[in-house]
Amino acid sequence: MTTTTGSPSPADLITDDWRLHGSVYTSPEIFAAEQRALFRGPWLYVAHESELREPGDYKTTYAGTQPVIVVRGADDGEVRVLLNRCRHRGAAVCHEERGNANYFRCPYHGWTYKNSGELRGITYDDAYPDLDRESLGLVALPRVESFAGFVFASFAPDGPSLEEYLGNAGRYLRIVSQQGPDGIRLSAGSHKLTYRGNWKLQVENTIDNYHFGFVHRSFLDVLADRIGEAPPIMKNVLQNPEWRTIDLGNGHSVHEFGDPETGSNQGQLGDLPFNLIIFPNLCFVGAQLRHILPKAADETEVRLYPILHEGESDADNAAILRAHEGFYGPAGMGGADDIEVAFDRVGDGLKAVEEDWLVMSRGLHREQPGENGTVVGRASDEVPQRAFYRQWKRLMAAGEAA
Amino acid sequence: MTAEEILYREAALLDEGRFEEWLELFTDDAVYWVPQGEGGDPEHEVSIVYDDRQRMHERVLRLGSGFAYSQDPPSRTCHLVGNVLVEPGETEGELRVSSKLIVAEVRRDTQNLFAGTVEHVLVADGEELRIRRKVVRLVSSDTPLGNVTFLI
Ligand code: FES
Ligand SMILES: [Fe+2]
Repeated sequence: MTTTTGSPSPADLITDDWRLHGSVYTSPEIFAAEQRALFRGPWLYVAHESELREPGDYKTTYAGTQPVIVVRGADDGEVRVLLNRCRHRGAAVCHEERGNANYFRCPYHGWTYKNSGELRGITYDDAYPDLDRESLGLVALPRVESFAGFVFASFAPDGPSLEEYLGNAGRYLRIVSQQGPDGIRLSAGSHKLTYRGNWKLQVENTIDNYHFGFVHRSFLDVLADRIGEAPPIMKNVLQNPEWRTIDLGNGHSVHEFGDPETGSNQGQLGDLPFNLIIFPNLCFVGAQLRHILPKAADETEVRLYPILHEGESDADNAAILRAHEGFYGPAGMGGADDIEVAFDRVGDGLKAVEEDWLVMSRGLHREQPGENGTVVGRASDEVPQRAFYRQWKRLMAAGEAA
Repeated sequence: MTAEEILYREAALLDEGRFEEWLELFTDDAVYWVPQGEGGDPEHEVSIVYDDRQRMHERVLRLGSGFAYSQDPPSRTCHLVGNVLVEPGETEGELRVSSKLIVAEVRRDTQNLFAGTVEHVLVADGEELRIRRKVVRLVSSDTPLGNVTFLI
């Protein structure tokens, strides 16, 4: 095992027998390197099309740590992803979470941009005799593509298409998009969480069946009270061969509750037929889309968007909201325990750096090759975590070489 | 008890961790709602809390389970109720009480402040008044709230 001093190479932070170095979660240098290697090349989720139905509809979010506006052009209906930063002296031009606008006007000195990003007006512009306005639009991310209604953008002008990037995960995204008879919509708003801890802790915890019986023991007690017997979740996790974790390639992973079209966790945590992680920071769990926003090595914001079903009754959609709130959100009876244990207490523990290695090898010996280059494991194995870190290591090493 | 006294009693029970007794203040058809953001419509918008009596019972059960890690250690709270206005409710025998609430909450060496407008709908049950509806509109409800697993 290599001792890491100074700036270790990513290859040294994960050993062949799956020990992971604690600095992966705590080092500001690694956080900065991730922003270059993980968030400036690969496709990043930014919106669902249901949030941008009309020309001029926009939302503000983040591509990595960078604030962006995702907006459907009023003139051409194109979805663009624009850096939320005035080209004059840097003020954010839009501070609403969502809305509809034909123009963004900077509050500082009044420069105005069309919602396509083009610089439209400079106030008192006689002071700029030869400014090249054409080059001073809001900066657009060079590539925006949509897959099954999910909009992604990339800072890289070239590279694999979104469909290639999603690879084996595309099938699952498509199933998510077909949950309602007429599709899905993210129209119910979102829960927002912040915690003092690394963003990858939330990704790893999203498909971690191993923790469920421990961290969520109080929720299992609630379920037992509700249904009058011990809930079957942990039995399935430990014994049901149809519940499996799969490394889908490119860092993506899934946990299937049986058949991905029809599988079910018995409806107690929401109704997606699987949990899904799209590398690096988009997850599906319960009945929600979870967008993880890294802020700093030790600071993260998470937005949880309940997925409503198009073509289903208000009462059925309200039931999705109530099931979601029961477990998730700031007052949820499950998610708050994840924050307490899987993020806060991990943060407390990781301060003891004298022996800084973690063990991420659960079920390594029983990983099986699946179709299309996938790797399949048991429900409680750390297959999704290893899927993530295999890609993490590849991209971080490539970033270092570049 | 008068309408005002019910609110004070509720605040005291919460601060003293007497959650079973708190639950008894509510009717069987009660709703306990903490909207998020504008929070006009729980049918179409996600809430922080939207509990029927069964879910309220489950919250209390969880808090007493010994395994609710987000409440281990438990929050220490101080509920301050003020600006109480009592009006007739929508139906005969109901009262609509609006008030302001400030809650100081201390947990793991940090003090948090929550504040908002509260609506109680009270209904006569024999000699007693009971709570049929409690809505807590937090002024911070559209911000990242952290851990609100204590009872507000
Ligand atoms: S910073 Fe935007 S107009 Fe000056
Ligand atoms: Fe969890």
